[in-house]
Amino acid sequence: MKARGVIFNIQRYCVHDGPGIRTVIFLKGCPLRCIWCSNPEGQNPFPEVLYYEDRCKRCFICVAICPKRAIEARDEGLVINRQRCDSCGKCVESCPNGALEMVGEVKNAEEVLEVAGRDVKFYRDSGGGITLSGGEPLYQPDFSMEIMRGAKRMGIDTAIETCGHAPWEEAVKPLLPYADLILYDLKHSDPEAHKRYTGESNELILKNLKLIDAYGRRMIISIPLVPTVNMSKGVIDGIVRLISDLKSVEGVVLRPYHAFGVPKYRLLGRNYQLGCVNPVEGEELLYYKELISDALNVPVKIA
Amino acid sequence: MGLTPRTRRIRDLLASTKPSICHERALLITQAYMESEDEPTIIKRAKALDRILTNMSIYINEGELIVGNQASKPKAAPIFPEFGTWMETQLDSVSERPLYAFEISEEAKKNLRNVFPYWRGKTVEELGLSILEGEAKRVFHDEDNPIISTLFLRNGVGHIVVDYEKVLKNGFKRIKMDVEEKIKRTDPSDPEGLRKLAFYNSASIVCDAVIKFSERYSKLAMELSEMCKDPIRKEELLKISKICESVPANPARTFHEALQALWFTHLIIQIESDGLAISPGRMDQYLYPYFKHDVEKGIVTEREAEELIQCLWLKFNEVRKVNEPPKGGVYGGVTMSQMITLGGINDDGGDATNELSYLFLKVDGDVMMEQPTLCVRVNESTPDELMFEAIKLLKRGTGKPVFFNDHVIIPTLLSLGVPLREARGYAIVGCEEPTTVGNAYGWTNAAFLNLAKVLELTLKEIKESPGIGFDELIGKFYEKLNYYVRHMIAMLNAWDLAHQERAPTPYLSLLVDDCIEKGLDITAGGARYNYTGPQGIGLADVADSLAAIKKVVYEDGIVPLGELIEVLEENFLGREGLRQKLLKAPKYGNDMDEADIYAKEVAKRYCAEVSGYRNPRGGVYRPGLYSVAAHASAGANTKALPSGRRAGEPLANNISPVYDLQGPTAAAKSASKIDHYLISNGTALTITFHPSVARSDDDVRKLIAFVRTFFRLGGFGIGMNIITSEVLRDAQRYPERYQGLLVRVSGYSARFVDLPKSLQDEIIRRTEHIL
Repeated sequence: MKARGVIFNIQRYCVHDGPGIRTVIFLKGCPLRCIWCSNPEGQNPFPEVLYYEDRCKRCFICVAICPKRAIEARDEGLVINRQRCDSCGKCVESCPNGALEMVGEVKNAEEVLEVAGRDVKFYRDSGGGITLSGGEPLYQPDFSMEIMRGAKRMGIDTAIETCGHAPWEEAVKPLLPYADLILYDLKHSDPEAHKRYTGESNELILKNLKLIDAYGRRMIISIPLVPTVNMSKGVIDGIVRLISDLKSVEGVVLRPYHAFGVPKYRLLGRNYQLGCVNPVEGEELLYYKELISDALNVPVKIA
Repeated sequence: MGLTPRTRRIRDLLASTKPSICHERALLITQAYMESEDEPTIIKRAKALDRILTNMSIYINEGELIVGNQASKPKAAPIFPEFGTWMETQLDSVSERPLYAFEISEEAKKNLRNVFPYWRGKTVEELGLSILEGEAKRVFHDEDNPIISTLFLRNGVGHIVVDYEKVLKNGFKRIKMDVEEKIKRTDPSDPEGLRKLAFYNSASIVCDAVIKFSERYSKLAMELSEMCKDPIRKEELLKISKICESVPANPARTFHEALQALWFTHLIIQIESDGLAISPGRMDQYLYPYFKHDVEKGIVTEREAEELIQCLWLKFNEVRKVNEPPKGGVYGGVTMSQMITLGGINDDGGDATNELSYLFLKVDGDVMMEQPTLCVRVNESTPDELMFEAIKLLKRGTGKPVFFNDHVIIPTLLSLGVPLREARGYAIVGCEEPTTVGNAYGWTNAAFLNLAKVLELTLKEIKESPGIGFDELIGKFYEKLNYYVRHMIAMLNAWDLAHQERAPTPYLSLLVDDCIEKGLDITAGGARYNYTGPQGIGLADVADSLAAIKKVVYEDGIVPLGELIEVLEENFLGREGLRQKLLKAPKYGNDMDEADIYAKEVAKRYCAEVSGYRNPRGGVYRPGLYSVAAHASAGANTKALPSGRRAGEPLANNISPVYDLQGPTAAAKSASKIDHYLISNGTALTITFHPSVARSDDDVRKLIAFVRTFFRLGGFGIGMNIITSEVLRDAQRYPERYQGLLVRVSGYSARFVDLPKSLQDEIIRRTEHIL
């Protein structure tokens, strides 16, 4: 195996990312910049330094040690110049308080598979497997491909969570033979709005959706429900229309917006674009669930 | 359907009743002893029990259908001065304890003060300490003693599952006939004859006392019935009167009689001695014939049967015991640990689950009180449905039930020489301890050996020779471990002899084979199987510490051993950087052999060493690896460790990891590397789950699969805390201990402990919402 890739987490015992007990592999790098993204550390395709302000004792050892002089000491804590930083990790090593951490690690597929293989017995008893997530797994197609192919050789069930924004021939199509299930994100029906909230239009995404459907891979459509972005009857109806004719769609999962990702922006020294929005709960959530259930012939679940 | 109006009333009243101290038993036993000082101890004990059962206050509270009380009111703890008189120092403070306080009246204080002087020089505690000899005695009194061994020195032993079925089937009249037959056949000129006769005579006195006790309730119920104006209650009291007239003297004929007979049998064990963990065993098995018969014949409806079970459940919450004084500011809680075992396999090896297994789970969820505790025996034939209902109960946040693995426990018992049929019929005592039913005196919660403290003391010695290699260091640790195991055994054997001499329990002996057959009290070795079970605690702390020493001192050379030991003695003062490095070393519980190997090795060493000893009752020692709540008090007494743990912090719970970063599958795999077949006195992995992984039915099915996989990997038992918001608040305070705590939101990557406080608060709010 040759392909290497950047991952930012391997999370075991996941129960809401496909059937059974699963290990989710989070790949770093994503073509979209969704303003509500709960894993902003998954967006850039390279390792990055996280700064935990509350753990920092302002000793500033890291400032002196940084070969790129990318860390600036201020009374309120550190400011990291992200342009200058080349993620060498010297500051992380030097920090006596655990205030700096590196997110993202370069690994080869074999290393990932070694971890994925550890829970094989749990997958078997529960009907689970691995799920590639991110970030965007199709952003690193060769790496993803090797992981999926390796997993299939080990008899492990595979799923991939994707936004669908990737070239068909180079990224999507080669992977399909090795994916038992595709969790396909649909965030908005309107190309313009899609571009406004994610940075890209949804044309490629919709094209791939139809091609995957024609190819005949099992799909579950995943819809994030984000206030101010897509939470209206019109938009949801629009998404429903996009999938109502597809034959490979086995279900829909609604993912209500939550704010758990917000603090991570701070760790990365970025601003959160969505602003202050309340999590989606209760009646409102059920309303959208029923809206979709009524229109489609497949089970609709809330993640 | 939940509680009935009756049981709801009883429950609410009980929930608002404060625990208190009752002096009656102490006064009665003192009088009885004073009047029979010249008689054999065992006769004295029998007469004392007779005196107590005949004269103690009895009550039948409003609405009760199952009757029988341990002390003068619900949640009142009787006092047992014959074991130790430590209560004497507690009279003025016991009501002021910040935790586990007991109300006490001035009259009770006065009366108790009057009786304690009589007991000086007569208690199990004093005799036990005077029997103890040599180095073990020094170790016992040493302030650095890593052995917590006083539970059975200062208190009764308990920790047993008696033969309830025998009482239900035969009744005490028949048991007495057996005893009388033995008396006839025992020749006083036989060398053992007189000793046996003393035992049989005591047993005979006790049988009569038990029957008289139930007759008192029969009479009381009759009197209450005569005065009662409510015709329905009047009828109920009349029925109670008839039932108590018949059982436990005679065989039980109905489900109601069986429950009442069970309760009297169980209750009197707790009046004879103050041992904890008197466990009713496989109630779904031995009660089932009565339940089935009555329901089929229309003697009770299922709803009536359910209400009777609720009444019994409430009774389990009436009995109380006072806990010992706090040590080093840490209050040890006392749990009565009346463990009921559900499911499992039957004599033929088939699935034993029945309607009662489900009904008991349901009733427990409706009653929602601490007692009884519950466990479910799991094997390949256990229906998923039973586990499903069990996990639904776990979601209520009480930690009940715990799951145990038949496929490990049965062979473990077989390896001790227990026949297959008895091994298949095992039940759990107290927390994690497997026992055969009705024939074993297991002393299962005999002591705790603080393994982490043993490591601390090893390092203290090594400070003088800091040049040693890693293997040599481990060798020194094992030497120290063996040293303390040996002295722990000496202590427990001393306490054992003291119980035999001063606190025989003729009533308990009637309910455990082969005491009657042998003519020997259970304290003297009358039971068929005699074990003593001390637990090792802090296994994960030791594994983490050894792995950290290996990495930081020997591999990376970051700090010399001698310096590290000094840093630990100073509790990492000014050395936070080094502590962070130690924390980053491989940790047990993350499915990494680098640390797991030490958990496996240390567990093996501990088990092998303990298993090599025998007790004075002719049985062997059985090692356990669990901690109940002792990991907190033992932690308070343990200095900083190479694992990165600071001085005074709690030790690992059971065989659970301390620093678990990878979640439950990794923890389960790490734990399964330990050879669980060696841990014959019991163990369990405890895993904390956020309710977000147990929300939907689908989630619950994944938890079932998780348990099954852990058991296929060779796990002994597993306790799952599906947590409450309180635990999350604890995680906010001690983030290091909750590294692996999962809050699972699909497609989202983070650990609870990494979130800022405001978001943690939000999750806590949502947790309350989910529950």
